[in-house]
Amino acid sequence: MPRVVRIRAGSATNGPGRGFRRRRLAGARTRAPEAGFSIVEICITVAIMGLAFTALLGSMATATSTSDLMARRAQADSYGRQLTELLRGGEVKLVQCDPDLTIAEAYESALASVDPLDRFTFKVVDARATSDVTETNLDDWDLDCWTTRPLLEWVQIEVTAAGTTPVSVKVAVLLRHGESA
Amino acid sequence: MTPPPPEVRDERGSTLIMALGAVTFIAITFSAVLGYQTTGLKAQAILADKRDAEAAADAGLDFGVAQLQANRTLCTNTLPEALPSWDDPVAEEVVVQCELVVASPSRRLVVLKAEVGGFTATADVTLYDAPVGIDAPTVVSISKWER
Repeated sequence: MPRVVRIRAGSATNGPGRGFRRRRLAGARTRAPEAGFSIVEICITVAIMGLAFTALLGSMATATSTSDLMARRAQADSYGRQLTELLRGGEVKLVQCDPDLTIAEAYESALASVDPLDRFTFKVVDARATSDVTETNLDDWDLDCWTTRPLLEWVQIEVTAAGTTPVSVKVAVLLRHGESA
Repeated sequence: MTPPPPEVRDERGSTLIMALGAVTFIAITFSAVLGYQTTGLKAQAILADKRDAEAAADAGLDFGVAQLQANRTLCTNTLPEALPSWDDPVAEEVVVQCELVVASPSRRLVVLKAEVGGFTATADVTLYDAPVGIDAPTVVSISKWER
């Protein structure tokens, strides 16, 4: 059996139905300020989230590109170290100077012939030699061409990793020549 | 005046709170990812500095060996002796020291030390000097090279 709810009508003074109308009117008055509240809420929310996402995505994009840059820098650095190890190990050496080339050009040509990876571009940006080991200032290392090997050579190589933003790394090595047992 | 029904009043601002909660969650997640990436970048930078220091220290040791080969009066006593420092153009100045360990008329065993930026490399070097009066270069033999 369905339960029958009996709604009590208004008092005799007010007449039937008046209490119900008053309650309806009271409800309408309290709900009236909420009209459009949700849309305001949503607008504020969208604005906050938009700002937050813009900031976060911006920083993520920066971090990602920096990370990529650093990774390529590390690879270029590692490659440069391999080239310097070739020089240190004596796998690439200049026996005599070619008068038509500077020491840097001669080393670049020699290194290019044994390029271990061929993934990066490199350039020998500076190379100096001296037979006076007491000379500590590199600017005074001015041996251009020699018949016997100089005692010390300093070679600086710049390795460039390609990409949207090319990354260049400079590595240097000091080469010592002399009598070894 | 009749107060508004409680269920209507409780829903006010709930969307905003949920959105703020979501933003906070996403921000924490992004911060964690960014922190991870930043740590990686810092590690790479430290590694690059370390590699530069290693290369400079190697150069310092080689420079020290060249000094010892060129001048046999260097490193003749057991006290640590400063050799000319190597002014590395890529890293900082490399301080080079040597210390005589044992000596005989024909050879000396010395320990070379190169320090740069808190990084130290050492090498054990044996120097075979030509007899006094004979003008011949000192021959070196390197038995240990540690970074």
